[in-house]
Amino acid sequence: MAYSELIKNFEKIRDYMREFYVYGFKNRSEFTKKSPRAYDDVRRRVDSYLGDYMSFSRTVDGKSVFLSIDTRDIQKNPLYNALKAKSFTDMDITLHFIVFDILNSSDICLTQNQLIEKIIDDYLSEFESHTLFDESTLRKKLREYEAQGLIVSQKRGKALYYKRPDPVFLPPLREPLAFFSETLSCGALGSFILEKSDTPPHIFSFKHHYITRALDSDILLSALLAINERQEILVQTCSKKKAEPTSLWVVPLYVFQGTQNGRSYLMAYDLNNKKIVPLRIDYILKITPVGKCLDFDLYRQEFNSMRPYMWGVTTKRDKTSTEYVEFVVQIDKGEDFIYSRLMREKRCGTVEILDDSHIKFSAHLYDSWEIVPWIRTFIHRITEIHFENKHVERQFYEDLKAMQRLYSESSSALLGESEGCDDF
Amino acid sequence: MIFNEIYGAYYNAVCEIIKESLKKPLSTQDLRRLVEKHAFKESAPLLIPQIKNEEWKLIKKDGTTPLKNPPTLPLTTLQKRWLRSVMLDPRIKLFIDTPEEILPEVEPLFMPEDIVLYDKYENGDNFTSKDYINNFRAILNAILEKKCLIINMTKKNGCFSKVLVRPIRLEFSEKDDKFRLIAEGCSFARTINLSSVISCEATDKTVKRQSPKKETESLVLQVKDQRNALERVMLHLAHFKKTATLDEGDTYQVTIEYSKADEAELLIRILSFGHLVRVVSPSSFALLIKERIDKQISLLNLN
Repeated sequence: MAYSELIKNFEKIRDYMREFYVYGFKNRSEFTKKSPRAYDDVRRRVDSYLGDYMSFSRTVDGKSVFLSIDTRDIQKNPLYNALKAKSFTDMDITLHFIVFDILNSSDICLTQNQLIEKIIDDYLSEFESHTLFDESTLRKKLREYEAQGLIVSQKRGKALYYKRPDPVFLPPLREPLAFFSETLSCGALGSFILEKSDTPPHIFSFKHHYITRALDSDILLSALLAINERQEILVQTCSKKKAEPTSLWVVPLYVFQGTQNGRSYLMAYDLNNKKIVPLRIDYILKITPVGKCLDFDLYRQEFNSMRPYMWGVTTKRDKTSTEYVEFVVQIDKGEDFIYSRLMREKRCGTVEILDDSHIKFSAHLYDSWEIVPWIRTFIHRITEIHFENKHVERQFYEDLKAMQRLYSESSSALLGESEGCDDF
Repeated sequence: MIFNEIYGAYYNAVCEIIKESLKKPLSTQDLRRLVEKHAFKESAPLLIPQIKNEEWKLIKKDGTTPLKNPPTLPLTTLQKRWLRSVMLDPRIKLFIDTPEEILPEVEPLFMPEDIVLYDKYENGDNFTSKDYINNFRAILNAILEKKCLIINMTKKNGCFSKVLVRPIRLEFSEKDDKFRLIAEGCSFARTINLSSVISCEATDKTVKRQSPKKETESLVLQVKDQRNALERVMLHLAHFKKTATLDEGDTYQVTIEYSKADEAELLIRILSFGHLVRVVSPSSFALLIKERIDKQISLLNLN
């Protein structure tokens, strides 16, 4: 098949783009999921969509492709471009522009037959080569446009008439669109509105901006729609640990987004295992609604009751108890900012001033391993630390000693001795 | 679906082509210019033949179009619902006084409470404060009108200060939930927290233009891919300009470019990864980490 820039299924490039952007060191032979030809086509497409942001490096193992972007320098997420690469047929694009040219104001109201007549007489007849198009193609298109809200139908007698919806009044939205299309979920929708207006000046920039979420736009959209409609859904998800995708029957409750680690989760009630689970949104392949959930509020209530014990996304597991964690940090004179830091970053924890130079943090958590990376940010200040979960405590100390060895030994010593947990 | 051809680059390009062909017959050069501007880098050789061969019955061989109007498209339901969700976000008040009057009959795509930024800092800006809104709008207008600003602000040490600056951009951090003004003209006010602005007003006074100076450093890290460390590090640091290479076995070298002003923040982020990430260079950075670890070992009597 001849190369095409456009693609039918976004999943074809979603994984690749994430690999190029997040990792960027794999060469052609390491993309094992598909054929080398498929890899070449994807690389070429992404290069075309993202142009200047693509870079290449050559090592003894081969050439690797990566996307290198300092997100503080950009005003628009460049990954949105990939969402503008959906393929279509010749008839799709022809009918699209002709139908909306005929229905160019909301005062014009026509039946399908009247539309066909006009399409043939006023438009297609102008071309030398004839185009065959049947009634059912137009009917299908009109139904699609109606579902998208681009046209509305009205029944008059027995005939069905089509027209544009009445125009909506909107104040100038250029600046809010420039901001929210980068900061709000499914922002690609805003960026598509924005690009129809004059290009806005570079007013906003974004720090700590995780742009890969653009690649999950449709999954996130399906999740949010399901939450909004209180739907039960089937979620097909993949993971690095399992070769085959797995399917889960869940009630989606919230979208949890990390502002510090780039991860997003769908927090959902697993109807088979009767527990709340965090599902990585970037690992979700497909969401299918299966019906209304009558107990949605109940599940949300259950989840909300867990929030005071969640540092990250781990909810109550099979065990009923929480794990207590506490640590004390020392501060010098003029280091009140540490107290401010603890207060703004404490989440579900409690901060207590012990004396002029010591502050205590404590929390009861479902999973105390989740808080360890944050505790490490206070390294050089911790005078006391206690974990109720002794395995976590031992691991914390072992890792700390491993850190010391790392910087004490020669430059090649990047070896920790601890086996540790799989992930935080 | 957001991934839909109606939002696509080819449709955008064809829309612009039709608009211009209503004014005059288009040449191949015209087509190329429009496609290059509105579609992808490599689109021209793929898209232009389809137009010229009349595969899409929109532009005739002579470069004219049988269409009668410049193409327009109503907003889709999804776009309206997304806009409605925007109107429910507290930050919209920074731009619009009465967001509740915009698309009131449209059902939002999601409610603000459906999305939780679970690790966002708790001392974010007060986006609904009247003074904050007024200052935000004054700054935004000054940026748009390319005017300088006189800003009364509280400095970090609590003292008041009055500065004359040229506003460049408003920078938003989701993690901090704060806006900062990036400005030039005053050496100690290149980055101003909007929450520290007491009042500001546009002025005809000017400051000397400075060529944009970006003090960036390279940080080289060695990442041991145990406990899923590589994925965590790469995703965590995804917003930096960076490169990565495989050193050997399960060890990777990651180089990121960071702003010198953010070194303190980056230092604690690197510490959070523990012993699976080692700073290779700059050595001053590695030394700072080493000093902190040594002090910690001593505080907990682990020697």
